[in-house]
Amino acid sequence: MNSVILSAGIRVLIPLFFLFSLYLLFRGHNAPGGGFVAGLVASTGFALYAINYGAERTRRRFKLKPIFLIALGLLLAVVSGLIPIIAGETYKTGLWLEEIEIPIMGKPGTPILFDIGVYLLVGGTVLKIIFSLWEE
Amino acid sequence: MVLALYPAAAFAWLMTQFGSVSGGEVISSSWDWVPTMGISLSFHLDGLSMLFALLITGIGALVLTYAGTYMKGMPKTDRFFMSLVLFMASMLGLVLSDNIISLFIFWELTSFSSYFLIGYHHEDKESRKSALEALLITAGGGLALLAGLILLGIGGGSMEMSQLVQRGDELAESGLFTAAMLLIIIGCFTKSAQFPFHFWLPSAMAAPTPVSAYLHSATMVKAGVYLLARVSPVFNGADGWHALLLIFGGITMVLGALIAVMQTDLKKILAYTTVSALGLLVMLLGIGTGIAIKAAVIFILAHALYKGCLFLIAGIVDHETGSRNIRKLGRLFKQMPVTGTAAVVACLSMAGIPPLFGFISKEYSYESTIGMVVNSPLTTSAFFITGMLFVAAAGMLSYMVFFGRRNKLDIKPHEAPITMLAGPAVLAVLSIVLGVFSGLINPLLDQASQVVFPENEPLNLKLWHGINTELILSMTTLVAGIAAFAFVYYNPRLMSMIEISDKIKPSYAYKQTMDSLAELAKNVTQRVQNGYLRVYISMMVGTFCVLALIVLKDFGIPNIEVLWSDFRVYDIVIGVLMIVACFYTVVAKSRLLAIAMLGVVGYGVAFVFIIFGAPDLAMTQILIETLTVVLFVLVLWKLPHYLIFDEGFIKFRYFLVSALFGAIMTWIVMLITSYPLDSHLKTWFAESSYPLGMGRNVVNVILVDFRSLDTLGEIVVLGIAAVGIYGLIKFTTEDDKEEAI
Repeated sequence: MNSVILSAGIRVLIPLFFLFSLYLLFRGHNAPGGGFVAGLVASTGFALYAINYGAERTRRRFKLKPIFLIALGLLLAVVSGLIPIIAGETYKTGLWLEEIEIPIMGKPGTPILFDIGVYLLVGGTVLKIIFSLWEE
Repeated sequence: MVLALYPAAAFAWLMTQFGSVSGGEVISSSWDWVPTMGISLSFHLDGLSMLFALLITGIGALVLTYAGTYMKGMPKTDRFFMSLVLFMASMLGLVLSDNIISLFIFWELTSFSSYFLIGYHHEDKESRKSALEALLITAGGGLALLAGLILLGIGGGSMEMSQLVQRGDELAESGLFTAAMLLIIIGCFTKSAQFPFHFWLPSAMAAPTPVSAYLHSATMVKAGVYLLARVSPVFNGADGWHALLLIFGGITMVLGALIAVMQTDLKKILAYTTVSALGLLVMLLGIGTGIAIKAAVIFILAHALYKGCLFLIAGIVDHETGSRNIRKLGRLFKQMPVTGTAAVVACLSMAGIPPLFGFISKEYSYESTIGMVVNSPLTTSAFFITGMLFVAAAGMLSYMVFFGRRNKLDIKPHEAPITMLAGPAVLAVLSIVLGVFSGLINPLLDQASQVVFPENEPLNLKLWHGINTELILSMTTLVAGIAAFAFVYYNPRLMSMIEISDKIKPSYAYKQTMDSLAELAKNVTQRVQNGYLRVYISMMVGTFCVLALIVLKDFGIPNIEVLWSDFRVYDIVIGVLMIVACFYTVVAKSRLLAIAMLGVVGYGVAFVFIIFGAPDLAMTQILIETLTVVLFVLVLWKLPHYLIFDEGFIKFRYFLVSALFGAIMTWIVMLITSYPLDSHLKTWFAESSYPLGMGRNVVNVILVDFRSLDTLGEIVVLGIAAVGIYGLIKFTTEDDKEEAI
């Protein structure tokens, strides 16, 4: 598909999509947002790019490896639950660094790690589907 | 092989405990696993376990050394050794487990690792078939065993074997006695290849020879015998126990030996004699007298020693000559003196010739059949026939291969390397040493027989019992056996003429069952999954409707008053918009229009979410709708022509399904709203979201903290779905594609 508006626009929009997705991801704990939605936003940006420039080019341009993202996301999600075990709690107990307060995000803790895992996995899944459909 | 050090170390450790265990001590240790259900990892080292554990680790070390050379140059050896060590560990766990559930888990693990090992040559169809056969039969029996063990546990009021063996009376009172016994027997029969399940064992010879030597003669197939021996204190003396074990053990024993002498493949001969030996063990356990148990324990050791040795030799012969056919092999002794000597020793032990350990074992077996109160002549003669055929088979394995006629081989064989000779040599030497100095092993075997048969008279192994009935019978067996061997040897043509119709074999029944099962599955699949997406969806929706109706039939239709004043203007606008969009989706003449209309419905739902204060949901919904459009754009031009159904009947069918679904959903919503929502969950989540979850967004806190295990499950499904979609798209071939859409 060749649309001049889209091909010109998406170059500018990609960083915005990406930044916005990060914003959604980190604000998610206190305001609407979260890993799932953020993953969708990020992958929508890349999907629009892929529609215009093809999957292969998108993959190379942004060095995307969807399966790797899925695996990494899953790993993060599982590990976030394992950290409390090391600290002597049961699996998936939320642990927080209470002293630190980060703008937008709030206090860092294991649940945010879990949410990052969700983010990567959702993004990876959507990209995988889109790339495979494109290449078929 | 460095790996061999592990079992060797375990063997060495076991030997350090040899003295205390043979003195009657029991070493145990235990870890809780699922304490609420009485499941723990408790291990117990007594005489019987010790005997098996020594066999597993000792022969294991020899086999690993041997396999290191045997498998050299073959592909995927890392996988092979992993499975072999996995098997070793599971088998060790099996014989040491005291808890019946962990025993079962180890039992199943041996089945699985055996599956991998039999299927080592997985490019070969026959190999795959054999592996599956073994797995299905042993795992199928495993299910029966699990049920039996659980009944045993419930009836006996304990999950620990060491407790259960003392609680036979409690079990009898509970009324679960017979059921537990039958189920456990079935499980053990499948594992130990008893008639009519015996056929998987000869098929399992598709595995590399070290595996056959280890799993299918010395260890795994004895697991069934082990368990029967283990539970014997509970069931010994019960109705049916004797009869079942005697009859099936006896049939297996005679049948196995008979088929063995008709074979020409070295490994098949060994496999069928193993089947026969297992039958003998089961029969001895079935006789159940003190002397029979002693005979069984002795035979376990004797058999493991000579059969393991012979299997390894068969592997050497195959490796060096490239053939396992006894008609082709011959006069190998000159080229392979060490192998030949070991083979002769093992065969003499198998034939039960003094001063080898097999002789002692045979004497005891005769003693136990003669000593039976009822049916003594029948079992004694069954044993006589088997013994005779064993002698013949021993002759075939040694004389025909290493002496006899000139071989018909193209290549010149030579002696195997030391790593491969070590195994058979050690086992052969043990057969001699234990035969002559039987006192060495006497305390352990005594303890083992005490475990199986409490209060058994002390065992006193001796080579020479004086001239008695047993000895005379033994010698007669030998003479008859040599005659039988001569007959087989000089009439090869006659032997090869014997053909048994496939239809009376149990394997035929197995094959028929498997074939009809596959046929049935194919038919069902063709009906349910015919490749039309619309059929899939109506199936799913239809199934849901039926299930929902089953639940809903107990509820009435609630009476809900709907006031027009409850609606706000934009509620009505969105509602009308969605209804109109739905209508146009259905009647749309092009796919693009239908998709766009569906999008309108989706955005409508998102608006509803916004209005009712669920921004997270709305955001997700909008993004999903957008992505759906993107996806459709990607595939639109690849899809086939848009189908519009003109036939009234098809239209009506789909209309019916959707109307039913809509009605049921409405009903459910009405039901839910008719109940007051006084759930305190909602307030609890709202209140504790910040103090406990450090977040003000309740939805997100629930997702990533309170219920994050659910989320983890969901994202796993999502990841799997992505891989699945990739596979679906990637591996659909061109002609499949046309059908599938």
